[in-house]
Amino acid sequence: MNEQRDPWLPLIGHPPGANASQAVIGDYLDYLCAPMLGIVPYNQRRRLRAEAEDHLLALVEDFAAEGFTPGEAVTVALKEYGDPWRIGQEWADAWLRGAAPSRLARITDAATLRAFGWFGVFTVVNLLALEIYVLEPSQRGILSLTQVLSVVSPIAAGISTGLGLGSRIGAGVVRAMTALSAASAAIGLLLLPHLEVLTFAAMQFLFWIPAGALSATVIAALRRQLRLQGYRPTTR
Amino acid sequence: MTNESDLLRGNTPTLVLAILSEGPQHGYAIAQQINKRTGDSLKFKQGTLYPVLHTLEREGWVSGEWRHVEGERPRLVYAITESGRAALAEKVRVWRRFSDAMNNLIGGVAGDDRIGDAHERTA
Repeated sequence: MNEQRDPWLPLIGHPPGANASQAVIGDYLDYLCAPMLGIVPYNQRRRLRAEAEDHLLALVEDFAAEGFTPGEAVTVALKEYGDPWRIGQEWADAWLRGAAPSRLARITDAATLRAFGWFGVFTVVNLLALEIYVLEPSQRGILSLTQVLSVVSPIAAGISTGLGLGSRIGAGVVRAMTALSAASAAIGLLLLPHLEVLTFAAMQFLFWIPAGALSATVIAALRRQLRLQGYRPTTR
Repeated sequence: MTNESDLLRGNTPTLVLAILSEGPQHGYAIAQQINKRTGDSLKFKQGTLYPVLHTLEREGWVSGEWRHVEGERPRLVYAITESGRAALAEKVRVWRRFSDAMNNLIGGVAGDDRIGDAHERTA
């Protein structure tokens, strides 16, 4: 069999040869494990990866025995095993459900931490802009700037969050923003006049959370599609 | 439109426990058994089996153990536990009650073909 003719081996950049099938399966397993990063512990991921690899190699052997060429056997085996990203997410979800180690572990998954970081940065920037507006009368002209900033910030933070790895990105944004909104309101009440702070806190609850979660979810979905594009196994 | 895969999704733990109740198996063999026993009518992506196995293991209903055989790849073999057998018995009881209820409910309803024929006759 001429493995160079396999339609999707070149797409993932592996040279043809005896080890090409192993490399293709290795790539597939990388995709499979990606959604579990930051959620499922390393030892558990290693175990899953080894188990999945064993299953895939057994499938490849069976399809090869049925008369498929080596390249075809790998392709059909991967299709039979399923969408790696979806399975990885199911694994991550099963871990979060079954492990239920603690509420702390749930709220400190990778998506939540990343959302907390990005939305935290934008919250601080907005609070600083608000403080300048309130405390520096000479800077009142920046009102429009603070308004634009407060509208653009959740979308920018959501996009930044969605670009990272992890599952349940939207839920991570909601968890992070709920904490941040409460924190920024509490901190702001100590430093700024109440009306501006309460307006900002209300905006965070009513606009930042849905806009941020939506942006992050859309970007994560797009990113996933782009990553899988050109990767999905195809049969001739 | 009815999709058998959707029906299978919620019942995969029962299928896995039923297969393991007959003896320890590794994941690949369990997947092959599901395909074989359902006559390939309940097509499922085999990778989705492992999150289910993981969940069953966390529940304490199955236990996994690596087995090393000379000349073969190491394999994680799953065995049902006592609590797993009790859980299976309960799941089977619930399933039978549910399927009896469904059969009683839809037993007198014609399938697609007969409904189609009746529709053509009345048209």
